[in-house]
Amino acid sequence: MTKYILKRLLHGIFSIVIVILIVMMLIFGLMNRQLIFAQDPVFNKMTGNQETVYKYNRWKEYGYLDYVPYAEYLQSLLDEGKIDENTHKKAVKIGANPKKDSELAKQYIDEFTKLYESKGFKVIRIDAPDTGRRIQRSGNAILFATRDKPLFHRLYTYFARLISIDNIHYAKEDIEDRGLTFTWHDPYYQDGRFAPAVMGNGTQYKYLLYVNNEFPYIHQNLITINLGRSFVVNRGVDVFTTMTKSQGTLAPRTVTYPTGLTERSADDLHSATYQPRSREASRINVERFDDDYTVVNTFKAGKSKLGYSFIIGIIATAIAYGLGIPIGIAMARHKDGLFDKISTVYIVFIIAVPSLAYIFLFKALGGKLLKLPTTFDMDSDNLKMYFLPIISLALPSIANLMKWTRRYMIDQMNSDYVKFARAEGFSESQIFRKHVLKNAIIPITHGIPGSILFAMTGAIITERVYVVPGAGNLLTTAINAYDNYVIVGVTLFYATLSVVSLIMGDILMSLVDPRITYTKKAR
Amino acid sequence: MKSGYWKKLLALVLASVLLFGVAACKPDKPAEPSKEQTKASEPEGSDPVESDPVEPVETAPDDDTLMAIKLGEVTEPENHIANCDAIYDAQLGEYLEYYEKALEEDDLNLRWALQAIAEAKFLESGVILPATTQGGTNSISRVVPYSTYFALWGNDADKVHTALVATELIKKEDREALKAMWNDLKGTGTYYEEAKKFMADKGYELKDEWTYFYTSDPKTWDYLATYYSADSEAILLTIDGLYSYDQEGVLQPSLATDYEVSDDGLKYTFKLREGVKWVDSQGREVAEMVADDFVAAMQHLLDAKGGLEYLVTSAGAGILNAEEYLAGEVTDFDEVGVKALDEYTLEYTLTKPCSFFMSMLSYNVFAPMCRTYYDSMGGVFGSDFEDVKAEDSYKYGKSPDAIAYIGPYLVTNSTAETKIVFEANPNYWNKDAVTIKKNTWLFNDGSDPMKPYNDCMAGVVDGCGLNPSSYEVAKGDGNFEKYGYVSGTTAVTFSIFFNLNRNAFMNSNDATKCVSTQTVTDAWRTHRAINNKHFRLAFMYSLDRATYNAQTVGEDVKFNSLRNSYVPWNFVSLDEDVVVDINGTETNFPAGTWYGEIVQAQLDADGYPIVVYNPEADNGLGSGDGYDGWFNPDAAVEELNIAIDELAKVGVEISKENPIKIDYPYPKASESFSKKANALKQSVEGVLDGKVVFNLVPAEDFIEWYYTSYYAATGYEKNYDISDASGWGPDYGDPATYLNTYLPGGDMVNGIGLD
Repeated sequence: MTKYILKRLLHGIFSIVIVILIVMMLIFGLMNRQLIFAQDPVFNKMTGNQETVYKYNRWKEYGYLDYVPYAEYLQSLLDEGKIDENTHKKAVKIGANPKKDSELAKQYIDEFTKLYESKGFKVIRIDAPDTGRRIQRSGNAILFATRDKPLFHRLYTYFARLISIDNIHYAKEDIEDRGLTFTWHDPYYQDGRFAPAVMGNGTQYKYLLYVNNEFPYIHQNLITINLGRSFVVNRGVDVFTTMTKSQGTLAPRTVTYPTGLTERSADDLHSATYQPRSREASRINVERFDDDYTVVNTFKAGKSKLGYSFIIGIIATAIAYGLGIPIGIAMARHKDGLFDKISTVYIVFIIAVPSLAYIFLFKALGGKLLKLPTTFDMDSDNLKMYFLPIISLALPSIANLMKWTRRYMIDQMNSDYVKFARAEGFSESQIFRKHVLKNAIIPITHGIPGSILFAMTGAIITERVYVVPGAGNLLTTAINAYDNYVIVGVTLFYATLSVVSLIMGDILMSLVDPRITYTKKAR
Repeated sequence: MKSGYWKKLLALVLASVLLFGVAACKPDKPAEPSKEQTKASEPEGSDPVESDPVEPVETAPDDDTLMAIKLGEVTEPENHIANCDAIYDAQLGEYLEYYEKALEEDDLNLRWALQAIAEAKFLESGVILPATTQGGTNSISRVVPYSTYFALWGNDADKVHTALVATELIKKEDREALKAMWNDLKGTGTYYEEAKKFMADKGYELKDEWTYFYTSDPKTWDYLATYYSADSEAILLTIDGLYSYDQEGVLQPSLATDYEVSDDGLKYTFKLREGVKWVDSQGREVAEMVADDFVAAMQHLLDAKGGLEYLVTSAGAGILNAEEYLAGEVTDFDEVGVKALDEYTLEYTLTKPCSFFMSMLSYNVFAPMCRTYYDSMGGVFGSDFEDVKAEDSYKYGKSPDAIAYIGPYLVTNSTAETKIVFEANPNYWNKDAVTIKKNTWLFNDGSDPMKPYNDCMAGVVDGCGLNPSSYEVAKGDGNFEKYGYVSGTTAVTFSIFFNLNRNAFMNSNDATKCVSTQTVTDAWRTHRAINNKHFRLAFMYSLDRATYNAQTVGEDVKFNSLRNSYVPWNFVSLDEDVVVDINGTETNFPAGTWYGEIVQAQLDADGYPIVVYNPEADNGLGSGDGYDGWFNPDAAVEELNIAIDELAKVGVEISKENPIKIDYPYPKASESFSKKANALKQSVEGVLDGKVVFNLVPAEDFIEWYYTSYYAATGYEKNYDISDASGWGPDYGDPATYLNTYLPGGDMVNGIGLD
């Protein structure tokens, strides 16, 4: 069994890598890069060489390519001490065309060209526009090296930085007492209560492991997952952070800082990260902190994107299974009866009507007739606002489960062993309970882990209609905005969920049905 | 003796080389258009001054080959460029002559008047037709008009803190009275108080919260590293500028208290307000604002390269060495023209005098940035920035909790696609002026067309624009009759423009896309026709822009967002009386005259039937937007008849049987764009009686369409005879921000096919 699961996991990981490879090929290789300028008001204001520089800068930011202007190369030489200020100043000025270069510039341009061409870059030089005509464009000559990032290199670097583990050598500066300390009494709680914590010095996070009274009670900062850094939607923020950090209004509480200062503040001291020389840099920090672990997150009153999506999704799933399966059974039981017919009408309605339409219908009905809130307000404590999104999500799932349960049941009812059981004289209800149901439910169980896990991904339309701050819209927003690494990251997230839920579904099936086994011995 | 002989010989040789050189540079004349013609650009090669009577009559090339086939894949850009100067001089020479006069003028008011005259000449050339703008929607609202800052450029107009918001919707007649009051009081500095009194007299109650919908979340909170308007609209509520425009559009000191300009116009020295505090998102004091914060801001702007840095380079304000620093040629920031002379004295040095420098101060790019706070969030300057910004340790601007605030509001909640809440900053230096203590933005993706109206009536939001479905409802229940008004238009001008020197007859990136059906003969004729002013005017007069606009905004509001001039009519108004010469008559324009009125005076004097300012429009307040001042079938036919006579002299016969073909590419995947294209086609061909064919060139999708114009970087690659795929918004408060775009080498010149 263990061996089988390991094998499945390996296969899963392999498929995930392939999926990411394909997605990267699509995004970075096959898509038209000019598209990112379609809605760009600045692009509209650029002409000539200026426009070229702008385009390459943007492409670099979006992760399409490597782009090194000649000036940046000289700056790096200057920083490394290979040339002095004076040489830099002279060499950095390139002529309007190659013939007008100074001797010194020529020499460094040659070196630049050689260096980058050997690395597989293409060195591009565009001359300044010619002058002497009435219509002339301003703008200088430009020189840069560029290359498309090689696909496998891109894939490797992506997976290499996917998971990062905090360590005591994170801080590059001189720090005394580098190391980890374990304490039973977290200094965060001034009362000296029992609260174990692992704290680091020299690490990125001050608290690597700590407990508090919020779910799931034990928290860690040791391992960070980097799914992919956003450039467009949430600039500089990893999409995993976007999904998991809490949202909403600042939620101040009484906080006692390391210096002993106590105030009402939303600062979450458990999230303190290291920022070199930051304590002296700001008046706020000097008054509150005694080291350079000063950058903190803030407490927010609401849940994270994943949190909202999961709560709504999981309740909807529970309702769906709780109602869908019994109704499906009842339909099969009274096949062609009135109940079956009414239920079939409902199923057909859900399949035939586009989801947007019936979600609006539920919204209108719920808002007008039941006076339920139709907009999700995260600042309110009114639990009723969960009602309509959950119902909107559950109703189609119910129909789906009804359909399949009924179908599997009726399938089983026509099989030989049922006929045999009838011939044996079992009552219909006995046959149903003991034989048909048990067999029919097996394929249904396979989908349960998937339904639970995919509750996390959120629902695109439902969340938009009721303005739920969930995770459903992440992928579509990223695709619309060409936020390339977010697309990759969310794809990875979805792919992982798929793989895990399929494996778990198989395991669950083997638990429900003893005939299914994954060990060789038993066969 | 011998050396003298050689010198003479050498001189002879050089002279003959020079002569040959001149001859070689002269544009070719297709004196014998024949089947031997192979070079694509030759038809365009002739002297474009068509109305010149000494021009010999030419005969059209008799060649039915498609231009696209004739061109093959490669043509020489040099041939194209060679005659661009001459075409520019012939078609836009008059505008250039007048405009250069305006640019030489130092007196601001006189300069604006001369610019208006130059614009009139520009419009008369018929090269472009201003078409539409944004805004102009039917709306209802609880907000008093002009109670927020007024300026058509920069960021001030989006500031909300002084808004007067009533608890009830403002009635139509009250709103109109307020607008008329603003018109009268503009420039006196009393409108705001009068409006308050007016509201009290009419029995309205004012409240201190304002809620409205938004559609796009800020992508970053680093206001110096972004060009997205969605970002700056949110961020500018958290910062302040040196100077800002008030409710009447008058510049008022803000973070600065005073300024001086050096005699040569190159140095601007600002005295800063003392005791202004930077705070964090929780209102805790970070530091006091000093002049160095403006230096840090400028350096960060140039390091981050967010897109708007062009505003401080020579394309905008022209800060000394800003361009060189961007290009990496200057690495020491001390050489860039922004300096803190002492804690409260700030000095900007420019490369050349810039009359509109003060008007740019309301842009985010001139806002300060707290240096100490930036440092504490892992920020660095200079060449290290590129490396550091990709690190996790760089936190600045990644959330509203990672910036320092100096403006009227603190961001207390920012939840993507849900809401953004701004609450009044208790440490704001000018907090007495803040009427709106809480500004809430609610996300609305527009999927439910009735939501804005329903929520506005229910009081969830304080105003909304009406779309076709909610407009019907509002008309039905009488609310539109009671409260409705037309929202103001923005400063962006979308225009329709000719390609004066077309070279591409298929897309430059893919020769199979958007292929023109014109033959060599057609192209030769079209080129000549487009280079005739009367033909162009006939064409522009025949375009029914209202029907065209109706396809995107709806029939009910099709006139509201029509623009008649290139520079918006109300972009500037005169501060003092100005006397200018209009066709030999000294004409006096009193203080308060709108830019558009002067343009109109010149157009009238020249006898053109174009209306860019109508004193009766907008319920008698006067306006240049909101009606069609160009569409004129009679004038169109008249101009076409003149054009036919003139063109006949240069060998172009125009008749119903032998019409001029004008290519217009459009994205056929989009229903509204297809309808717009057909609306133009119908009006042109109808008015001009089929003598001009509006030739629709379908592009499969938007990308293909963009490659005909927007993505085609040079005039050489522009694949159309007429196009509308471009708009222009202002960068500073001087009409030059528009008019410069059609100077030789200006941003829009390649749109009319000239390189």
